[in-house]
Amino acid sequence: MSRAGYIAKRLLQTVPLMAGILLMVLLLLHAIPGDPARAIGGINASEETVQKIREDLGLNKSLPVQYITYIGNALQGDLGQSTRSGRSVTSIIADRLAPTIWLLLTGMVLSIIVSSVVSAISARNKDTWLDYSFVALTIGGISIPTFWAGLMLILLIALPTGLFPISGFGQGFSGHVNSIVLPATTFAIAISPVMIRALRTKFIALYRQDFVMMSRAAGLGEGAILFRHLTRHAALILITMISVQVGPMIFVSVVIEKTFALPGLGQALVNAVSQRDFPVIQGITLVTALFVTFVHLTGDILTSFLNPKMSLK
Amino acid sequence: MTRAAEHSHALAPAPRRKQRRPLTPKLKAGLCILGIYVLMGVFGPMLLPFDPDKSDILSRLQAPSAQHWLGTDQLGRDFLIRLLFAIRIDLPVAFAASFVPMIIGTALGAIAGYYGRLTDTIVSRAADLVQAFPVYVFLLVLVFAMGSGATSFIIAASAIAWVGYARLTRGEVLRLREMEFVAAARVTGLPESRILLTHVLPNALPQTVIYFMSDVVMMVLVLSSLSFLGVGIQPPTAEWGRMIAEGQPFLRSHWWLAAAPGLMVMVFGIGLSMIGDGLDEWYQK
Repeated sequence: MSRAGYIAKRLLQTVPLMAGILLMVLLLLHAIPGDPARAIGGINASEETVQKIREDLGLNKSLPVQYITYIGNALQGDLGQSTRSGRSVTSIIADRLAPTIWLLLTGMVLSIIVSSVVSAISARNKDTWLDYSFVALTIGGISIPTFWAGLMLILLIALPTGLFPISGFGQGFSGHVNSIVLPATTFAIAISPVMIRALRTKFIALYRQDFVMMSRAAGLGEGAILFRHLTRHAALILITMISVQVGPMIFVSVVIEKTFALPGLGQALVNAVSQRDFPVIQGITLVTALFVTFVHLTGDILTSFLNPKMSLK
Repeated sequence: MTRAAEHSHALAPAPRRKQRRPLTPKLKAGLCILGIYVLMGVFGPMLLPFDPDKSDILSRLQAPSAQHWLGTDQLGRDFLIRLLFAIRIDLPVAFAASFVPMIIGTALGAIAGYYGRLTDTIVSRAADLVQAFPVYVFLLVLVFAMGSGATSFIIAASAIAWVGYARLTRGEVLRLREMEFVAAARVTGLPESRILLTHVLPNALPQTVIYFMSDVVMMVLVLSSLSFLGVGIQPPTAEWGRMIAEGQPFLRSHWWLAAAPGLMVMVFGIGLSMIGDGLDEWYQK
């Protein structure tokens, strides 16, 4: 299959997937045991309030009608209104987007840098004390609760030095940068260990390849071998790793936003959960699911360009 | 996984006639850590004369002393007994939240891989759909929708985590069913279901067990994260993530309230990772 054909096919595959995602998001409401409208309204809600919630959410219509209405509205950017504040879910999401994007981007860049450097050093010095200590750190890192890592950074860095704020998003660009340092570091502590594991194995395999020996024999320096040849191969697995890890990354960012009180999407989700604000929960779940689909798609397409050997099925 | 392939080929015809092999150091160390946790969880609280959930505001936030070895928390409860009591929540819930999806996922993956066609299409598409979600965020929302607590957590985790097991088992079964010993079993006239259960599946299990160990670590982390966010185990029950959240406001003055539960999670995770890695080495020997 040609590459254009492959991309077209991958794009088409996302259509039923999105239909499935929308269905799951809608069905979330019905995962509540008993009457969802009663559950949202709370125990003390009057019968009229419950009836109004039922009508607002379209719960009095049949499921297929609800589904089609929800898709139709979602396509027009209408994800309903918050049952608490009455604001439109779309505008709530738009307001909360910036800190989350900052966190995801800086955290991802930092994770990529840390995991590439550590795994390259580890593989180059395989079976030395340096490699072993990195491996040990990796095993430890996988077992650390994200929010705990964040609190320990606050305890060991922010409180003694006073350099970084322990909560909030700061004002202006420098304020944003300053308040994203510790959250991004926490993100890297949570995500890097898994990536290091995969990358280290890849680098070790690469160092065993004939072309590395040939380059050495031809007098190429280690730096040149690493940067001119190996990084290209490593980039491929890095893309795959990001694609696989994007789900955990989003969860990690929710937890980090709560830990550092960053006013992002994750915090909005947690707040909505504690206030039983279902349209907001649905909207944020939908947006994150679409983001995951988008990253998977981009990852596959990028890989098809970077790896000519990939079978385009 | 390629090395696992060699191993399962080697013992393919009679997986049960394994010789006893000595445990690797990693496996021993990991089992020791797990053993210590189980002992601490079972016997620890019996040795301390406190009620883990009963608050005593007058003696709140005490520093470690002869009476309260790790001090008291913000409600005056003995901190050590809460740390130990949390083992009775975190360990069983995390194991159950990995075990149930393991059973479901392995069964679905085995059926999809062995019988193929429609079953494979259904299982694989369902798995795709679940993975299109940011799964742990979805878990958070599911637990919330069903109401916080251990049971909801286990059900929600099962709805999501079966996918990993199903993919793993499906791949292994696809590979194994083409091997000669399966053809041989078929020639002897064994029914297909019997071949799958007694010849194919046992050879796919080592990889599943290793994955299970990393899954338990993941589930402890997710459970504590959900409790930290206020959706998992509800107060006053002692749970590590919840305890970290309760310790956060006192980070300046009583740092150990937030630090200690995290260490409990970390050491437990390291122990299980070592069991997983150790089993991998052990199977390959």
